[in-house]
Amino acid sequence: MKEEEYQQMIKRCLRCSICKWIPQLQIKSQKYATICPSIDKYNYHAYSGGGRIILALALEMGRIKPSEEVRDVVYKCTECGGCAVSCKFLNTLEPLEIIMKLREKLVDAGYGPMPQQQRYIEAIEKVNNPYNEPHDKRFDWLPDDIKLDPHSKILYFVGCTSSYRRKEMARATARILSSAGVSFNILGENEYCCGSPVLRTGDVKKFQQFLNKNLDIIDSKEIDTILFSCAGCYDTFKVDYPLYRDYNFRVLHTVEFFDELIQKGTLKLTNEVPLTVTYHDPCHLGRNAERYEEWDGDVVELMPLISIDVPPKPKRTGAKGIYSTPRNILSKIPGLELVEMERIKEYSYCCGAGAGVKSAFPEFALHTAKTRIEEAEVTGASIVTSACPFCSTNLQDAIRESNSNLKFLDISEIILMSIGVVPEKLKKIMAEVT
Amino acid sequence: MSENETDMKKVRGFAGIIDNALTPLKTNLKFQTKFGKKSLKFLLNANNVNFAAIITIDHGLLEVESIKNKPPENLKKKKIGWDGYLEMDTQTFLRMAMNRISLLGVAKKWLTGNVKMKGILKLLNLLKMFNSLAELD
Amino acid sequence: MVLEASILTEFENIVGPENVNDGEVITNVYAYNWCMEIFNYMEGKDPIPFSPTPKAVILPSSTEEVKKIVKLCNKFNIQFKVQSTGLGPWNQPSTDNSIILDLRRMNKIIKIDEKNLYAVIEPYVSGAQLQVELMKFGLNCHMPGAGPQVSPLASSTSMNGPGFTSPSTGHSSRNVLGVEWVLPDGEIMRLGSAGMKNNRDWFHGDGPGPSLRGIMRGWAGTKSGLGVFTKVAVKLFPYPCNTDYNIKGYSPDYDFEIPDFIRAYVMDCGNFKKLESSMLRIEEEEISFMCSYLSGFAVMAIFSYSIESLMDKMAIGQMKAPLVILIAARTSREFDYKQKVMDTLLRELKLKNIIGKLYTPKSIFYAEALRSNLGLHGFIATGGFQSTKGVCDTAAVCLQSTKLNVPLKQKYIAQGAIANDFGEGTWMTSYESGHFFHMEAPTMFDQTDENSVEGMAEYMEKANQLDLVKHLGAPFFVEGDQMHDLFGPFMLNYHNWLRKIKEAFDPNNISDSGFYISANYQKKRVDTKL
Repeated sequence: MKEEEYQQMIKRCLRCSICKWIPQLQIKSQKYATICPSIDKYNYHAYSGGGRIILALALEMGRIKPSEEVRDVVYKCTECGGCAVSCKFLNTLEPLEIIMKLREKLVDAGYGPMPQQQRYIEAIEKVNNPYNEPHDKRFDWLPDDIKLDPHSKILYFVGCTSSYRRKEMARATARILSSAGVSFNILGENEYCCGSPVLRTGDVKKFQQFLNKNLDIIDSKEIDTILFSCAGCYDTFKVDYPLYRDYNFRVLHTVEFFDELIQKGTLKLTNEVPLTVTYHDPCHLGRNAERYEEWDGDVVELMPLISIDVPPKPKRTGAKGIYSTPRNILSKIPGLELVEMERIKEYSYCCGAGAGVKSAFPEFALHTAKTRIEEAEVTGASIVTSACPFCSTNLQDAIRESNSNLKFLDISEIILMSIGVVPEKLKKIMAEVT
Repeated sequence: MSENETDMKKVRGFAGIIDNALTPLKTNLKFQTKFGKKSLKFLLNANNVNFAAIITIDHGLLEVESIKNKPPENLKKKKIGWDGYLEMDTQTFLRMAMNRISLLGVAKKWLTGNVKMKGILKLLNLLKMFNSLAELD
Repeated sequence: MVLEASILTEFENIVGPENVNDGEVITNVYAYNWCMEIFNYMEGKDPIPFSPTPKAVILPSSTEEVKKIVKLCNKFNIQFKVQSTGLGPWNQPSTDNSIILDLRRMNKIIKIDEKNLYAVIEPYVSGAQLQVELMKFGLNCHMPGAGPQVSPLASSTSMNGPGFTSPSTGHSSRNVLGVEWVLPDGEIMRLGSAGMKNNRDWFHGDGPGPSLRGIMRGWAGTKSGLGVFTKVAVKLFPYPCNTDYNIKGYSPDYDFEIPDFIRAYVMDCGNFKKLESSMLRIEEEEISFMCSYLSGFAVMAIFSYSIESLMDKMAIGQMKAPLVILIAARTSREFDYKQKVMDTLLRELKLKNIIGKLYTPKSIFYAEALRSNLGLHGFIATGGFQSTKGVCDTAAVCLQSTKLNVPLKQKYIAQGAIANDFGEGTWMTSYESGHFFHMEAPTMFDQTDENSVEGMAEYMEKANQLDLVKHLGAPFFVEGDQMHDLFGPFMLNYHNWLRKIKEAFDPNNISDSGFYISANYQKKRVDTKL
């Protein structure tokens, strides 16, 4: 967000509190009416999207100074973008952009990121992943029987979380691609963190270093298409990278690619998967995965105080996120029943892990995930699924901590079951829930 | 095609607002019947913003294009071939489009130099056109 | 100013340390509100959107905790300002010797009595939350015009309370039944049947003896000036149509499965005389769910989702006196009847409905009408608006005020201080099938432009004076000492009675009286340009 736009926008919050709720027309029950995990936990107005806009104004006016108290409020936010979707139903403010800009300013002022986030940034610098795991272990997940094609123009960018923490997702993805006869490659030792955990904390300068490192490598390899099983990496490459540097490859989440394969007939969902499943929309695959669009129209002053954009400026409202694709896949799986939570699609409730919250405020992350698991339980589903390893981790932590009977399976694992590849672990889950 | 000539690709600036405002007429049968035998071209210039609007009525079909309103030579009758020319500020245009200014009101503004008009008789059709927006079947 | 550590500890002992915050960040954020800059300017202060900063913000979770907090405030002579959903400058403290009680944690729907048609709610239940739970019983509630995200408890106990559905659901003040009230001295009072010793329930707010509902909120609400309301019972109504509420698509371009038996009418009455007779005649038949006069611009706005999308609705903007009606029914028979009545009325009044002919609204309009979300469209033009204090009276007086307001408003439009709606910007709605009406003049201004803020403030003040000079009926929004002192002498000195009430109930002046009335008000010399 440009500074001029930021300075104008922070003066315009109406304090209507719409940012705390899912879009008013989508409210179906009292219990599941809210969108903002931060104010749901911390209750003070400052912890809402609008509250942070006011905080930004108070900072600019010198009413408050950068401090640990400011940092606490600004960083106790998963940058899920729920506030922005609700605000932009009628308004033109950008709460999420303002929060991201606020973090940049705190980093510049020496008050950000949070110490725990700083540690993982240092780990990324040192060993190319935020988990401080050895770089040479990044591809331990790769099964021996998966054949890679070094000349393929399709690259599977695995991402740090799938590589080190959610290996089952990486394996499932590789097996699906292999099963569908897709020749693909991975970057191997040349895969580094996409930079998303850094960007979300406001350290834009460092983020650009990682961005350039990644794009330099990819540009050297004549890649047409990059597949991501991590929504975070996907969003970062698709939406954030183009703001800093152009590239010439197609960016797809694996659900998009799998859907293409299913439609072509090269991926056949033939096996019954008799499970009742509810799908959690990851923020970075859904409402945040909309590209910024250029606008070269004209601003026409119709009268004093009212100017009109001709044509209207494109507004990122969450409408262009990937919602129907995973649902289409799930609905094509024989025997599978898809049931929906109340808060879905562009007004999905965040899993609680994003933007460094899992590291800096683990109790907040868990609190949010538990809320989400409770919402999933109400659907009657036995399985909650999603398409992001970070959502997977946090939701599974919540399942365990809540002693929930729910199981978590990534959508790739469910697809794997339907194409007839059922590793032991999945057989066990089937036995437990059916 | 030079920058000074009509921008055929998109309707820019103030002309875009006029285009938007007149869009309901493009599919209005009553308008198409009323203006079915007319072939007229008007130039609307809002002197406080960029891009004048060229409104063409061709046997009931309506089209709006934009043209840069500076330098003034761009807007000459010889260049555009308009039948009527109307120049005022955007607020006055809005009043006219929303029927909040009478003919007498326009005439007063013309006398004080706040409105410039050429081809006055043809411009009456323009007023009729804006009034058509509110005509029910 | 900060709270002494010992006092802070006493508050923490009541609600827990995580529910008390006196940090500069939290308190400064609570000091901000929409339109605060206008009220600051009126008081001769810098036109900034911040009020005095409270010393602390406290989040109680129960009536008992509220009671203890209020008693502590009395003990330490600290004023309190209460808020729940908190929209508007009326939520702001008037002094920095104050704390804010944010009732966000008090968010339960205590009871829905679908047989006796009332619901009991806590402060932080939003209108939308209440409505969706009521819909499960085929019921509805009155929702304030400020939107479905605000608190019906706040509206019914403490604020004004008009709504787009007022023809059928009335005014918030008239929907209050039993109330649980923490008085400014910390004692708890329950009004009506909620206060009975035996068989306590919530179904009515009156009792033998003087009805304290009038004292509790009066007409315009006390805006935290007379204690804390911790529970309220509100009247319920049959939901106007089928309760299936199916939204498809993605924000903001939602598609709505329009229920059977709902229909909109927008008609140009041409002039105010005809508008008055039409509204009265239509309301006489008691069939409308919504019945409002909105200026041409405002009607364009309720059908638009951005300033850009206003521009293709010029035909609507050409209307001189538009009347917006919505009818809805639960059965086809009821709907047929209402449509026949409307058809007859349109013929009788010689009015034409443009809906379906000149203009067809997107389906989402109906979703918003049912959820009372239309008021928020007022923000799409400049991002800010505020209303003049308006009139609550007969239709004739409301329209007279509207008419006389036009040249005054045009003066400030000409200065470029407020947006040009030709001076016509008005919302006027019927209440209880035409038993009374209110009008207010929503005016678009730019809160980031000092000239606009000053012009808006001046216009609002002049609109008040205009109403007095032209004897334009009872004011609708009246708050604060200055306004009460202005209007009181013309209305049998009601303000003196309000002061007595304030004195009797809040002798220590602990409940923030900034937007209510002070017991002992010394008129301050205020340096303004007004």
